[in-house]
Formats: sequence, structure tokens, C-alpha cells
Amino acid sequence: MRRDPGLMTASESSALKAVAAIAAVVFALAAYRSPVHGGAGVLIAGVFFSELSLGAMVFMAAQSVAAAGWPTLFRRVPEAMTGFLPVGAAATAVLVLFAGKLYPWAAPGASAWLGDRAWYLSLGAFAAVSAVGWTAWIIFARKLVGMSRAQDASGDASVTRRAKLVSAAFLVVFALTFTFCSVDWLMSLEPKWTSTLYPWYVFAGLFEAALAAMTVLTILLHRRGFFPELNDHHRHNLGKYLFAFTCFWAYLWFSQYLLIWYSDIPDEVVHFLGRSEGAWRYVFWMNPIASFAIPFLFFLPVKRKAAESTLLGGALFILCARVLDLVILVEPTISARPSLGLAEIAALLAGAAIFLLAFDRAFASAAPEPAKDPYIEESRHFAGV
Amino acid sequence: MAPEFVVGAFKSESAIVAAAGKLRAQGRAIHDAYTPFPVHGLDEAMGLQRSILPYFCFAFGLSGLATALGFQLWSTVVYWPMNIGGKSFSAVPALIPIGFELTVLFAALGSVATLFALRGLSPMKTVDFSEFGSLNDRFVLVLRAKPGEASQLSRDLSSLGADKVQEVSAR
Repeated sequence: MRRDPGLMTASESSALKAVAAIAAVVFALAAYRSPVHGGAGVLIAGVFFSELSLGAMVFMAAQSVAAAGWPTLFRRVPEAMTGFLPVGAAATAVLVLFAGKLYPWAAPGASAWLGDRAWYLSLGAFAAVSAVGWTAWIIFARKLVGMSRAQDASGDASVTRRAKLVSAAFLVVFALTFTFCSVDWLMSLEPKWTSTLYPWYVFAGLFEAALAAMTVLTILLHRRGFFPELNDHHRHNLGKYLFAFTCFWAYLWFSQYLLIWYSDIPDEVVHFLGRSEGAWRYVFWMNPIASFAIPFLFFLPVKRKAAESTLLGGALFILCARVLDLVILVEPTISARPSLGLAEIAALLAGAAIFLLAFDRAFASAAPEPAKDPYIEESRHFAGV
Repeated sequence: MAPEFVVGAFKSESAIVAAAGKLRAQGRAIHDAYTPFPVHGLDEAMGLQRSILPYFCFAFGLSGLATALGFQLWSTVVYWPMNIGGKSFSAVPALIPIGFELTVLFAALGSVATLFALRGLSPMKTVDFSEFGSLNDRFVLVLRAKPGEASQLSRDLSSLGADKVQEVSAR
């Protein structure tokens, strides 16, 4: 039921469907040949594209709680990014099928060496934690997006105030549930290793990735004629967000590395020995350069944050760096040498195509701008300092 | 002596931004604006050039980083090498926290000092044109008048919605 053409034309959208179908077939064959890489593919692609949806929700909720008016013009972009959430939930369900190949704690006889952790690191607890998380996130997404769309028809300004309460509740619930999910999905790849900073670190990457994707999608839609009032000040703010959260990510990456490197305790240092030493070390040290040093220096000048082409380029670069970071979290646990199997690449391709299709469908199913939002005029004439 | 400045006080931030834009479109140069709080978009409407402050900030930050790394390397490698946990004397990760802190400290203090120097601020400085209410609830636009131009500028400011307009001689 399209009212406007969305991000893509019909032919582009069918091309993407073909890409998704071919990538899915390639993935299935590759995963059949090597189930470990199949599991890693589902994990990397599933987590990465779910992060884009969840980060978009965090962005919306944070702006709502802070009563920020400036992003109202393009708020339908983060709203539509949540369209991928059901696919992300399905990916987690598929992940459970691969758990035995991917997670050492799910292998037969693991409870013998897991000790006190055995009750938590079990398929039942894993599935329960993910189910609670996904249920909560999808309910909150439906509620927040639904309230915003209902306002288009009713024009009721009090919706904006009530959305603030829902957003505040979401932020608390999300912080708790995602902490557990990041431990289950990623940290438990090394069941005997723990880091109290890990969920924060994963969250920093999540938010950065979602900001970059939101920036890219907003600019692409702007180029196709949406959001005519999008100006340098909106872009400058998005650039500042990207810049700030590359620093936040680097702060957490380094905090975790420094403490573990300094104390040099065998139980803790095992996580880094497999990455910063041996065959993975070049890839590992590429991460802080690609995820922090390059975007930091690139986005220092105002002009690069505010100009459309440089902002788009920088955001795309950051998205690639986010994938690299996730690969470094996952792959060294299944391969001693740097590797990215066909299954992982196919899963990322299929994930990207499905994410874009889900986004486009969600975006086209509502008005492109929340025209009755009390902040919309402020946002259309937004000028920063 | 002919008046050097023409001052107009506006009641709202939207009025001063609109007035500044229109005056600039007519080719008038705006001397300065005084407002109770930062007004979004006023810098653009006044045609202010970008400040050189960020370059100073970057340079101060770099000097802070260089100071921190230099001092730590000198003390732990050259002057008093100590074996800590068997790590290399020049282990870089251990130098980063101090490096980060001094980068921020030098950049912040240096930027504030540069701002004071560039704007001529000091503890004894009095606020220019404060009698027009820019410390209270008025948005004050100051134009520099060429000889014989002052009365025309006054009329322009009034027609743009300034509720108090005055010609002021040099100070």
C-alpha cells in the first residue's frame, strides 16, 4: 500500500530481493559444508543488523526523553529502521540451532568444566534471555512507532508527552536486557572469559553503527527528494553524533584492553592473546585505527560533518569498521588464522538486502514526515550554534 | 562629533536574526550583537567568519599529548627505569591515560585562555552597550555608521522592529 515511492524504485527493490535470495542459497550451501562458519555468519549478520534497529530505537528514545526537536524532520528514518526487528529475532532463533557448533558451552560434556557457570550457559537460559529481550524490544518498537504514526491522523500533541514516558521505560529495559543478550550472544563464545566492561563496549558499537546507518539512509532519502528542509545544521549534528560516539567506542575499547593488559591475569588475558598476538594481530590492531583514528581525524573539521558527500562517505566507512569490529569479536574463537568464510559473507549480504527491504517497506507505509508533531516546525527551521 | 555607532534593541531573538539578515542583504556591515544567551542562527545572519579558536584548541591538545608522552618516556625509560610486571619500559598502553588527560587539560585551558585573549576579556572588562538591556531581556544589534549615515541607519533599525534605537558616539 504505497503512498509515496520509498527509498527504492520497484526495479531496485526486486534486484535486492534477488540478491537476498541468491545470498541465502549460497549461505545455506556454505553453512551445510561448514556449520561453524554458518553459525558465525548468522551471529555476525544477525547481531549487526539487529544493532542497527536497536540503536535507532535508542536514538529515538534518547531524543524524545531529552525533548530534542531537531531530528523530528527525519524521525521516520529511525522509526523505519525498526522494521528489521522481527528478522533479527528470527536470526537469534536460527542461532540456537547452530549453538552446538559455535559455542563451546553448548558442546556435549561442557558442564564438566563450566563449573558454576553451567546453569546460565545452557541452551534453555540462552533461549529464555533472548526471548525476553526480543519480546520487550518488539513491543516497545510497535508502541513507539505506532504512537508516532497515530499522531499523523489525530494531531494530538499529548502523544509527544506520552512517548517520552514510553521512551524512558524503553531505555531502562533496553539497558538491562541488552546487557544479558550481549553476554549470551558474544561474550559466551569464550565461556571461561569475562569482562565487566563488555556489554558497554558492545553497546558503544551498536549505537555508532545505528547512527552511521541512520545518517546514510537519511542522506539517500534526501537525495531522492524527501526531507527538502534537511540542511547543514541537521547534517552537522549527525556528524557530531558520529564523531562523539567514535570517541566513546575508543574509550571503552581502550579501557577494557588497558586493564586486562596491565593486570596480565591468565583467565582474563586469554581473550586478547588470541587476537593481539599470533596471526590475528594485524587485523586486531587495524580495528582501533579504522574504528577510531581515521574517523576521528576525518570528522574533526566542521565542513566534513556538514557537507553531504563527506558525511555520507564517513558514515559508510564507519559502517564497514563496525563490521570489522564484530568479526574480530567472533571469528578468532573459531579460527586461529584470519578468516571470513563464504557463509559469513553471504549472511552479511543477505542481511543487508533484507534490512534495506524491511526498511523501505516500513518507510513507505507511513507519511515520510511526522507532520503533526509539535516539534516539526522547529526541526524544519533548525539552526545550530 | 558625528555618532560612530547606531544601536537597536530588539524584544525577541527571531526579530534580531531577521533584522541582521535584512541589513546584511542591504549591504550594511554589522559591528556586533549582544544577547542574554546564545541565539541560534545569529552568527550566520550576521555573516560572522568562522573562529580560529579550533586551530588553537587542536594545537594545545597536541602539545598536551606531546608533553605527557615525552615526560613519561623520559622518566620511565631514561631517568628512572623500573620493572613493572615484566613489561617493557616504554610500554605504550600505560602512557595513554596520562596522555589523554593532558590532551584534554591543555586543550581546554588553552582554548579558554585563547578565547579571553581574542575577545579582550579580563576581570576588569565592562560590558559594552550594557545600558540597552543585553544583560537582561533585550537583543542588541550595533551598527557602525559612516559619517552622515547614522540617521538613515536609525530609521532602518526602527522599521525592522527595534523598540529602542540610539546613536552613540565613539567610546
